[in-house]
Amino acid sequence: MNSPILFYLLAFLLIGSSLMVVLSKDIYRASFWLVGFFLFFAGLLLTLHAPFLALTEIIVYSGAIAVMIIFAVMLTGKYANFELSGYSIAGVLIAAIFIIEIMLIIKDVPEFKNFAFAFASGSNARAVGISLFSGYLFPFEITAILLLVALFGAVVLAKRRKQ
Amino acid sequence: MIGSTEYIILLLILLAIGTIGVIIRRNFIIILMSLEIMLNAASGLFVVGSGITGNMSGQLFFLFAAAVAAAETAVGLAIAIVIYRKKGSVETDKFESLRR
Repeated sequence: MNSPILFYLLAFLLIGSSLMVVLSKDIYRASFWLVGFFLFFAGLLLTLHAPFLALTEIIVYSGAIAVMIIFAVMLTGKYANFELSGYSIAGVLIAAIFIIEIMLIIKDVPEFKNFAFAFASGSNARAVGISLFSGYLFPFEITAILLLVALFGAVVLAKRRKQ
Repeated sequence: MIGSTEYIILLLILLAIGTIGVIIRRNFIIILMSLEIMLNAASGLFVVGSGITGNMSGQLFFLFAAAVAAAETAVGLAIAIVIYRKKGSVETDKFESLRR
């Protein structure tokens, strides 16, 4: 694990696919690049010693959310006009300022070379489950209610009203 | 060996790319996709922090963020479909009835 070649390959793929999502004119193609982004991100989570989260990423994001987005693309338009304007320069400037600010902060973050020490014993899914259902039970229930409300909200919004 | 700094820098670059997408694109669905990239990068930072501190809470935060992202995407896409029905397009330049 944690080999530099794997990390830099994943970094290249992640940055490339996210740039394709942001810059492509064809929304359909952008949504498939987004699926690729989610899969590469699952690989990044695997190198971070979080296999349970990697599988969650594949199921929830590249399974459910990507299908939802592709359906929405099919129901709306295919092409998005995209021209550079003053907004583009402002966006790149804001992102650059943001990166520089956080690069200045990051010097204070302690450097750790080995992520394996923390979860060396036992399986990751077991550790996630135990801490989810012991310390975080209430947020878990609230999340269930949030998903239910979002389901109702989406149905009520998208329902065709009788004239 | 790759340490935590490289991971943090990579995730910050992804967060910045998502920010650029949200600011410069005018298509509602592309904006939602860029938001997904931003949410992924930000919750990935929590997972890195979980690896640094040896605490499970960061990984749990990723799960909660995934649930919130799913809810946000469902409602956002429903809004996009409603707007497409009313205006015939999902370009954000067309959403101006609250501005006038």
